Amino acid sequence: MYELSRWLFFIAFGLYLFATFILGAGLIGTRFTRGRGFTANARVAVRLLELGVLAHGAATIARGLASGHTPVANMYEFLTFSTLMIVLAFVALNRRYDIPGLGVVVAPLAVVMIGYASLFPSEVRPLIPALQSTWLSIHVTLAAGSEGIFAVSFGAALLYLLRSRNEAEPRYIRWATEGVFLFGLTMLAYSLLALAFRGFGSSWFVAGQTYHLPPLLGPAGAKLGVAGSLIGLPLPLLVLPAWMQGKNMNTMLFALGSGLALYGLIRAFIGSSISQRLSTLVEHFDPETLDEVSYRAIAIGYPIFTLGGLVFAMIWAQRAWGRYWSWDPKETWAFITWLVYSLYLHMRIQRGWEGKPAAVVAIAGFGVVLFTLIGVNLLIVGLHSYANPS
Amino acid sequence: MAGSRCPNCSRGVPAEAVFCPACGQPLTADARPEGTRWVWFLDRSWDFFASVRVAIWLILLLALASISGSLIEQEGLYNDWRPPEQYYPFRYGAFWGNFYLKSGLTDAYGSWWYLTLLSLLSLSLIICSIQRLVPLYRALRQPAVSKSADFIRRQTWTAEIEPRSAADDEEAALEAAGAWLTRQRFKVYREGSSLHGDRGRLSRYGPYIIHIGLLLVAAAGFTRALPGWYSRESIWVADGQVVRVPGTHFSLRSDGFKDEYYPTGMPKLFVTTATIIDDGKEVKQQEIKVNHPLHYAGVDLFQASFRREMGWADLRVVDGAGQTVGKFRVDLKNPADRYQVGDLTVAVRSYFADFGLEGEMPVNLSREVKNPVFYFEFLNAKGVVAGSHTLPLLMPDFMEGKRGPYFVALASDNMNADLTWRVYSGLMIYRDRSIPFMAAGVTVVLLGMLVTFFVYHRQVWVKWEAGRLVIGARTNKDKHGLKREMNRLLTALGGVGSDVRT
Repeated sequence: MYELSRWLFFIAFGLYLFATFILGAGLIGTRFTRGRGFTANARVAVRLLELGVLAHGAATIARGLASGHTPVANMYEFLTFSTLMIVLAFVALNRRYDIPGLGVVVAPLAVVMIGYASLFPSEVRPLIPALQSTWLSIHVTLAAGSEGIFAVSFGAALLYLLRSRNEAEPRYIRWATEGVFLFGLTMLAYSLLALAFRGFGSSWFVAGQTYHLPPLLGPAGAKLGVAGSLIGLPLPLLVLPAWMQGKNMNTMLFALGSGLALYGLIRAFIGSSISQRLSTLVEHFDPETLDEVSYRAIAIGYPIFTLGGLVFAMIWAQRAWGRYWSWDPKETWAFITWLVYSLYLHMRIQRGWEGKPAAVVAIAGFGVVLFTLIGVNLLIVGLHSYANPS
Repeated sequence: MAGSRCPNCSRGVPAEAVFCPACGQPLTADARPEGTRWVWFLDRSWDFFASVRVAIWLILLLALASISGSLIEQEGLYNDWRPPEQYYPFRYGAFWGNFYLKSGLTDAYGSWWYLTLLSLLSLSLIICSIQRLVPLYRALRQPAVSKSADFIRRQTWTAEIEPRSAADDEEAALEAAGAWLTRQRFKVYREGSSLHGDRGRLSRYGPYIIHIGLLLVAAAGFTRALPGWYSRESIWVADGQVVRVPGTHFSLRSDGFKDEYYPTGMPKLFVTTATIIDDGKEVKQQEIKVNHPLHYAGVDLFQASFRREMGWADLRVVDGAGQTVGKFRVDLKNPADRYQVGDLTVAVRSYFADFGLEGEMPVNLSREVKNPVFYFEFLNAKGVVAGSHTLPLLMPDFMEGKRGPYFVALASDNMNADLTWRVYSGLMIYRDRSIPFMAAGVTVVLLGMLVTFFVYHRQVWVKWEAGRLVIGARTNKDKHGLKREMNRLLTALGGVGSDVRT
């Protein structure tokens, strides 16, 4: 059963990847075809994504049967489940609004997220006492579901900003769109780098911690140069005090560094900002529909997030820990997520702020969602750190 | 100069106007109503808090303030024995540690600036809602049935149709439209040659229901500060031990704590079988597990932690010839003064459960049994001291503290066999009277969201004019769905020459 789930999952990933290529090719092709045929091409990609969702859904059920619990109990399971929710949300919203072009954001996002998820240990493990509860199935799945919907709104808002890019808009809007690509490339570059090092089986043991990337930044208590050297630089190069968590800082350094390097390369190659180049490719999208979809997705996702991500979480916290709210970092960031989307909804009714400024907030909101899901577990210590760090 | 437009409501105002006649917005810099400055100040404050722009800024500020508290371990959450005044300088260095303490960042969500922001946002919620709720109720209470054809044509979705046959007339057409709308659960009103359908009016109140719910949630949260509304205690209870539950009138006995692990070593189960003893009677027994607290008399008991401690030691006295004189068992938490071993009396002159040295002074480093050390004195049948032995239990071969022929050793010289561990279950006890209010608050919020996001206020006007039906419709959300529904109306009514504009 576990093997079956692995196979189905690989099939789903393959379909997502294939859809990404088709959409990418179609998008670049619009330079030559002036947008004709892109929609037909996108519809093919959407069919692939729908098949992928079926396979992924089946994989999830199989894994659940194999492990005896809803497969959302560790970072790998949760990230892959979130990816399923993202693609599912897109496929469902597409049925209503017919926006296959939105796949150009959703498909690569799914691919990158699965790539990142694969860095985490994926074996099936039984549940620790704190997770032995029906609330695991209810709270985590609804939260992931709402976050999938937010991902679609993110995609629509991003395309909307690219499509309506003009000379007159304030600079922060351009920086926001470019920042999205920098972040995406950072995630991609880091995942590739980490996978490469894993592939070579390299690991470094420094002051009681196991590093899977060269330990330029060492943990507290390590001696400089004790772990060897990398292209002449001693490892570690710098030792950080305990509260800075050297291992996580090292990961961040490699992530940012490789991201900036990849971004710089691409930018040098294409000669202008990524947003600028992409904005010429999306001229055939209808900005009104994009804006409507972005809003509608949040209007659906927000109540589901309030219910599943906050209320059910509070009920579970009360059952498990005795307090429905402890200002634990994860809880706090879920609240911040809620505030940011409340901010978005109020901007939509304020004249002057309902168009592009609101779209920027929709994009920032998804960034906050990602930080809540991943950043809090990895960077901040708290009650929610069941997850195994990479 | 011709009249200009009011910046607030965009209606036309006469050139000399000091206040907008429609919405009251002051139009010049020194516009003051008759009355005191105080009244004017209150008016401006009201307008300030009623504005959506201000609400947006407050939400943003609250989000940023919430972020700041998550970056530094908060006072209630760090895992260290030091109190905050020592812990933060220790962890972040003297400068930053003290800065965090003084600025309130270490208890961000209870700090004055956070609570002020919450209060301002609550004020904004109240004022925004009153400001808009009253006119909304007035507008929705009496729907406008007769509208001009121009008005209808300006709606989000609009169409004009001619009846199918010459026999169709005003009455039949309006009747058909009215019937269809009624079947779609619209409330239909008729006035002369005008028809009005209205559905989902509740949706317009949705945001205000949410706001009221949020105020309830904030109030429930604030009750935590009220005396007696919230208490948190913890107890350690050993197997078989009866402990008075602090803050209550009853006691708890642990009938056994169990911890189980998976083959990988990861924890599988922590459970305490507990019996509540109230007024001398056993009133309740339950297995307290993680996710399954015990509820009794307004208080909840949670399985929080456990610890193992050395409980009893089986010892023997050995004489000069190496023969065992006799055995005895010592309770390491509560040793007796003396033990009778054959003819010998073993007196416990001094005992440390967790021995340590502060300089030269022997002390107990904690109240737990971690490093038991005995100073035994041996008395013969006549009560004369026949020897002594200082025995650190974890180092039973330590012979330097021995004076005289007798010494104490482990009963079978086997640490595993001769030491029996005690296990203490750690339970947390909570009493939280805010829970029903918080539950009510979130329920109102969720119902408000249901009504705001999944119910739509749709309004349809139908007017018979010059032999045709003019239809117009609008909605507060989901334009897409409105178009679909109105197109179905068109199909139902049939007709020729639809001039559909959306």
